[in-house]
Amino acid sequence: MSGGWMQQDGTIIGSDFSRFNARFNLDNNFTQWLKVGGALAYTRTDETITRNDGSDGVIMQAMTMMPSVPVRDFDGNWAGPNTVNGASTWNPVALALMTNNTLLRQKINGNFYLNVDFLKHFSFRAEYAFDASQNQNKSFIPRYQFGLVSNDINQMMQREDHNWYWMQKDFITYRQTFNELHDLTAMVGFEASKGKWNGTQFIKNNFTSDNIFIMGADGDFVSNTGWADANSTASYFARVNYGFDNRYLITATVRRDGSSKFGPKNKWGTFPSVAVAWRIVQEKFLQDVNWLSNLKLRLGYGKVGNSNINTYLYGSTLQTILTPMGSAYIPSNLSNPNLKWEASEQYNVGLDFAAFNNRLDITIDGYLKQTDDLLMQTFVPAHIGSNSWGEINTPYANIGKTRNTGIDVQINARPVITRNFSWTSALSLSHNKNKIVALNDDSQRIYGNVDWYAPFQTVTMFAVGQPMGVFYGYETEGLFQNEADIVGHATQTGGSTPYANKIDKVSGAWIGDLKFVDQNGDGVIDDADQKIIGDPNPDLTFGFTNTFSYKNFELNVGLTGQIGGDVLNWSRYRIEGLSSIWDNQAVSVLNRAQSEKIDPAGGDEISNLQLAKGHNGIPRFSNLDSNGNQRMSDRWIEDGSYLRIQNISLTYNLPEKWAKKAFMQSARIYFNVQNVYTFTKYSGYDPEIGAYNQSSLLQNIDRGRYPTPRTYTIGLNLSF
Amino acid sequence: MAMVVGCSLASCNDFLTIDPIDKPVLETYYTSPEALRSTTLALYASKTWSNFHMNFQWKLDMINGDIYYTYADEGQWYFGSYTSVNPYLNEGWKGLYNVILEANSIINDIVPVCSGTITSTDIDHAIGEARAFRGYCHYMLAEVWHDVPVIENNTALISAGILDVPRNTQESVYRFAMEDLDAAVELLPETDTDAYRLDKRKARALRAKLAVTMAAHKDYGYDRDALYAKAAEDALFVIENTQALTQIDFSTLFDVESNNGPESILAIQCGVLGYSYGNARNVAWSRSSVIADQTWGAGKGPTLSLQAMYDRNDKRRQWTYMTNGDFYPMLNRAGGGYTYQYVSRDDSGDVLEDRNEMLAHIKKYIIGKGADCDGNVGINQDAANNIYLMRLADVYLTYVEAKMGTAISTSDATALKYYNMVRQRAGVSEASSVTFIELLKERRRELAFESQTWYDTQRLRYREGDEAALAILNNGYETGRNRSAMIIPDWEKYPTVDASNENNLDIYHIVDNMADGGQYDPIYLSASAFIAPIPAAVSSSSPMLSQPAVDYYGGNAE
Repeated sequence: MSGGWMQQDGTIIGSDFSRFNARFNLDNNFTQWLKVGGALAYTRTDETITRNDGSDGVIMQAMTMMPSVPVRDFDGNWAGPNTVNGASTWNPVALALMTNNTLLRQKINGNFYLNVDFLKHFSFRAEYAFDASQNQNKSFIPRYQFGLVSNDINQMMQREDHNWYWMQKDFITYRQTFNELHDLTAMVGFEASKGKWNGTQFIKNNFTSDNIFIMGADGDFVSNTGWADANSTASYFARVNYGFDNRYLITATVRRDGSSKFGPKNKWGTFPSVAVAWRIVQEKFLQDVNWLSNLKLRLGYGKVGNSNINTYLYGSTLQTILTPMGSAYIPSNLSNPNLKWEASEQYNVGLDFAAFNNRLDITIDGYLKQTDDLLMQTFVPAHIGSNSWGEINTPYANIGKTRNTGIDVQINARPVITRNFSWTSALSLSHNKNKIVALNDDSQRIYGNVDWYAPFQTVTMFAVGQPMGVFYGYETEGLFQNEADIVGHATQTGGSTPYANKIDKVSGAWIGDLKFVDQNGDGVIDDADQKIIGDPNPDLTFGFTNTFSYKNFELNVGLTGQIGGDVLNWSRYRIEGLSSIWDNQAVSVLNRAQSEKIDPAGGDEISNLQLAKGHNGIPRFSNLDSNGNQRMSDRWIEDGSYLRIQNISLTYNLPEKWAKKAFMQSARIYFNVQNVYTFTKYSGYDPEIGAYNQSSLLQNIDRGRYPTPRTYTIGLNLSF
Repeated sequence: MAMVVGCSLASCNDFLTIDPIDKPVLETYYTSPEALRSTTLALYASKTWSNFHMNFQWKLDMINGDIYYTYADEGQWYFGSYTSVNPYLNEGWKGLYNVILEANSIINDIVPVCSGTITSTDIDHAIGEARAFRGYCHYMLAEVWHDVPVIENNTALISAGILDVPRNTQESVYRFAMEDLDAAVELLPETDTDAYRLDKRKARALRAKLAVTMAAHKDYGYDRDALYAKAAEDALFVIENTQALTQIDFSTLFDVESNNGPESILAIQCGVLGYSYGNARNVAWSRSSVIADQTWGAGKGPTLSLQAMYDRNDKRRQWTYMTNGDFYPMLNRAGGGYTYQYVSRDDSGDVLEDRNEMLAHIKKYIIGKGADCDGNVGINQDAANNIYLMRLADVYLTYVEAKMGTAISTSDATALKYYNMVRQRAGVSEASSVTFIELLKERRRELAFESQTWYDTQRLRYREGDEAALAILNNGYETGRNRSAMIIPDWEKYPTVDASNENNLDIYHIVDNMADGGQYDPIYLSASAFIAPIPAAVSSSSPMLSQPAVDYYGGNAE
């Protein structure tokens, strides 16, 4: 039995998290041939969430809020900007504290098994598992006033989810060894699972109090919605393991998986795999090589299925949209009765090597993984179809093919082992390269975008021959130096006849605007001049851990990092883009491009102006941005390479005899620092961004990421 | 004791078949006329049009020089300097094509699965509504982008994998739109029990608008007189079969109480139902939080050239925009009504509302706070006053335009009768003849901020060419006020502007260039502003859009 409780305040003011959990384990050997066991666990988490990520989140608002605005005014009320003409109008502290957004989750899960040995070489095992969970999410927006921003209507949303899942699995295993040389295991089985969920969501407004967060009789009804759905899977499987003389090992498996997410003709997919291993170290010719501890070669092939999509996408359901005349029904999506399993085939080769009494241990794995029939929503231009909420969506389909090739290396070493001092070291390196091999049509491109209201609509891309989610945009080539430079450059901001750059400080190009590269040389900068300007996929990721022990002290230093992996620093667009005259901006904009007079006595017409020296490459301020300085270009792409000291810990183990005197088995004191320091050229808070909504199309886009906290822990560990 | 559960393939397939239980399925839902009407209802819904009406529609009032707003990407519309990456441009494209997608879904996907008690008349009505919307959206696309792809069956294109289609010539887009509107007039009932729905009469109003647009073109070889006659016939039918305009109060036309009233021909149905389900103008245009909650309309205002359009007696003026001294008892009821001042201050003398460069703010569609309008505004940019796509006064003026035909003015008695009814309602003097330019000015006074005037300027251009249309745009409809004009304190005469004089008009003067203290030198739109570029977000994934347009009906390319 075990239990735990923890409480934590978030990095952002107003956020917190608490968790209670309890667990009960049971294992019982009733007889020689019958075993029964199981475990039951309960978890309850309660958290207050702030809107942290995203462009209207607390972090972005904190970065863009005018620095002259205080958190509270002299009267102690929330302060806000004294003009609301523009963007950042939200007091980030008020935003974090006032919206009462809580999430309570409770979960009970259990698993049980029964194992029966029968006949001589057979056993039967049945496994059962379940998971029941309930979530309650409440969000209350009170009436408020920050500066000139006010809200007279309070509103509360309450959402309840109920989920139930069960799984059961039965299999029979046969195992026999012949002549002490042939070791054979065979297994067949069946497995099924089902998940069901339902929920409701209510919205009411105009509550009489801003401090009571209960969905009671008070307030006016706004809207409600509810949902219920289920999915199921079933599988048959069989496996054979055969080993000869502990030297040659082969495993072959075949699964037939069925899923309720596919239509009548395509419910089932068949997925075989086979693996062979050769323990070379067992061969006679190596018996005398004493320094060699292990040498094993592994080869494998496997195919696995993926059905990770929503339910009933092979058909077409109807969705409701609210209207003052009642609910309207429109199709949720176009159907695709041919939707089927996505399948990945992987080939891998591996080598395990250990030597010098296991003081050096190396594992190398190489792989090639090809995924066919990717389950994706069909991407079409906006005049042909939609993939937005509340509109008739394009169908899901099995689109394209991707290939991943890579190599993983793991080296463990213990270079020094003496009586008082030892040093152990572990290094892991991973290199992965992915590539899109095919889409529906080889010329097709699928784009990802950032918020609709920014000129960032085609910033990432899937294109045949490219890695997943490359960044797409314009290439820059410095700033306009003078009038001649603008006249001589390809047309970026047209309008005049003959078609040439319009030279105008307000509505055209000007000194200090960015120059974009005319990739196709047609004299006009347009969509066709965009190219791939970055790749979010890293070339190499690594981890390196070293442990030094001296007598009773132990020092542990862990490093992680990556080389390569570009980031679209969209946060920087907000604080360096000069796109809003009301947003706070980074200090770096002070050294932006500005023009100066050539002849100080002359006028300020463009022929007498040139770009002043000493700027840092940020283009001039232009409210309308007619030249498109803010557009998606390599200006916003940064190298996300980093090396992070992930943790340092120092531990002191009390000598055993002292512990014994205090009736303890052992005692230790430790000091630990997590996220110690990050070496990087990346200018944002943290280069480790990851994918947005787990989409491989939207990787490494920094929208004001919740920063990783640095954690100091001092601990005492006593065992009795 | 454990139970061994396995299943045969047949029972397994039952286990693996889970039909939706929380929503209907397309193939089995359409068995009653009510079910079919619950889908045609979506055509009128705010949600369906939300990208268009929230993020694009009034950019047309900016480019036409009616709404002053000069902020960032949105401000590019005021200067006519928008490019293909302008995000609002993409929203307009998506918004209109989304309506077409829903209309096509009804025509191509839903009608074939109708059964049960749905009669062929029910189906005719549904197709009539869908085709009216599809035709009208193609018309609006043709006015903004000129050559655009005609989309007749989204499902067929997607299932055939045809995802890159060419643009079609504006002429063939008109033809397609007219075929849809002709069919709608044919199929729709004389009247519908739901006031918000289209019927034969209302469809004829839409068709009249398309007909005057086509008739304005000199270069397409149209029989212009016949088109004008068709427009006049349709418009007259609507006028004669609708309550007289003069009996309808203008002052409340943009409030919830006028939703689907006699003035409304076709309107986007709005409600307090959450983000995208309602009218966002109440917050996007309102001057300050004294008027409405969470507003961002402080920097928007009627241009000086629009302000110069109105006669002192024009009753429309106060309900179109607010300026010094205007009193609105229905706004800020908690404070005893709202009186507009250039600058307003609180009791301690701090500025509560500051002046903008037009010394005026928008009133049309502004309905205030929840307490001012029976809770008809929400907190998610969702007010419940509908957004007109076509209203009766537009039909009256379209009739005048149709009767004028290819002439530059008209004194036709019936045309003048209806022209003067529009003016009577506004309380201004009646005219004995009207020129095309005067008609455009009347339309601007009547329909300002309703995103119609840009289409008017396009028709002027079709009739008289780029230069004539640019002249109107660049000198503020003959007021001589370029869109750079703004009204600021005359600092030389009044070096101190404070609470004592800030609301006195005398201390302000109009400037239109930077040398005189303005923010901009005169802004001259060029002909390239007339045709919006294809949004980069779609042209990047559809290379054929960059190719020359082709005739949808297979004729010779332009």
